[in-house]
This record gives sequence, structure tokens and C-alpha cells, in this order.
Amino acid sequence: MSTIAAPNKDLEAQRLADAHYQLEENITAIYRLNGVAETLPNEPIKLLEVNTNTVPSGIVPLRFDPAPSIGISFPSTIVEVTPGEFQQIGRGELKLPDGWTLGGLLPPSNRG
Amino acid sequence: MASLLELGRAFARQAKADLDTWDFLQGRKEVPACHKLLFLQMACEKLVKAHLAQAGQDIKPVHTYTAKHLETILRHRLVGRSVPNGRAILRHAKHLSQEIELLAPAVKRGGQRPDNCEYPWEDSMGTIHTPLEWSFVPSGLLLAPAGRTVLKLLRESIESLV
Repeated sequence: MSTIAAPNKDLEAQRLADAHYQLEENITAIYRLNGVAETLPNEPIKLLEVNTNTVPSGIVPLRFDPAPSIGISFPSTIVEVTPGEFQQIGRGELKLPDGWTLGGLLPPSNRG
Repeated sequence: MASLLELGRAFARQAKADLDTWDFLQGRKEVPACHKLLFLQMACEKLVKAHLAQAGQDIKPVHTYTAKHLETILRHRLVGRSVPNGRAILRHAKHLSQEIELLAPAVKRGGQRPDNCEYPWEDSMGTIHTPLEWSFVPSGLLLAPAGRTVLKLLRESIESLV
């Protein structure tokens, strides 16, 4: 009897981050963003992407539907910031949405 | 009250209608490029606003979302697909999205780019230009192979939300 593995949010987050590193050379770091309902199946994978080739516009989340055909079974939310904005987040000058906290770095799996 | 997903879907439906109209106008020589491009600009802006709405963002009545966010949306469409020139396509998408945003008359990049697809403008030499006779940058960018791929990804992105 075959079994279907349950979706693993951490693995999918890393897969999504790796794909974005691969496609956008100006992304220098990707971090997880954690919400208060992180364990719920409908809670998106949330990624904060630091991009040297973007303009500062604050925290502007973009939401994406799940894409099971490419191995992403959770919805996802992407926030793209400049390196300067990332420093502002670290200093608490730029606020994340209510209930969101900065999680761990997702380094690229396939770089050096 | 409508859910965020419903609101996002409504923006996407309207974006699809804009993009369908853009497609419908292609090849019609009697329709000026400025009018065709107006529908492309609106489709791109509404696609971005669809993703913002679904994330619970307050959608402001501004035209400055496309340059920053369209490339992020198109990048997401390439995840998990084997596209050897994906980075080049996205570089092209970035350039194109910056130019598409400039088609809106309210976006002038500090007065440096008054060209737009709706209203006449006067240049620094006092010459008046109209969108009807202007040669727009996106028209050329869309003809490149990467430009056509960007259009395909744009349609895919819109239809995935409808």
C-alpha cells in the first residue's frame, strides 16, 4: 500500500527560496516570516526577500495561491525589500504586519 | 463582506478583460499604439493589485505598483519550470514593467518622463507631443523574444487567479 507524504512547510519554503535565488540574481538573502497561525494549513509560507535591484516601498506583501503541480502545496506570501529596508526592520524602524516575526535565514541550497 | 480572495479574484477578472482587449486590438492598424498599450498597462496594474488584495493590503488608487511587483509575480510563475534563460526573461520583465508603469500619465519619474499613453505633453524645448504619434518604449521591448514570453507569463498569472 502506498502512502502520500504530508506536505512539509519547511521543505516547501526552502524549495521556493531556492527557486527564487536561482531566478533572481539580485536576491542576497531570503528569510522566513512567521505568523501567529503558522501551523494552520491555510497559513501561507511567508518569505522576506532582500533584493539589491528593487526600490524601497515598505512592507508590501504579495499573496500567491498554492501550486501543487510544482510541489508547492501551501499558499505563499512574498515581501521584497531593499537591503536598507532590511536594516530598518532589524532596528524596528520598519514594522512587519501585526503578528509577523522575522524567522530564520533560508540560505540557497545550491550556492557555494 | 467579501473575502480577500474574492476581492483579488475580482481584480484578476478585470485584468483578464483588459488583457483580452489588448489581444483583440493587436494587428488593427486603425487603432493607435497608445490605446492598445493603455489596456496592457491596466492589465498589469490590476494583476499586481489582485495579489495585494489577496494579501490583505489596502489598495491605494495609485499607478506605481507595476514597476516593483510585476517581475516578482512573473518570477513566481517560473518556479519549478525548466527555463534555461529564466534570468534573462526576468531582467527583460523588470525593464518592461518599469516602462509599462510610465505609460500612466500620473507617473513621470520626477518630471523626466512625461510621455504617457493618454494626454499630450510639452517637452523642455516647448514642443507639444501627443500619445497618438509617440513611439513608446514598451512596443519595442514586447517584440523581443523575451517580451513575448513576458506576455505569456502575464496571461498565465492573470488566468491562475480568475
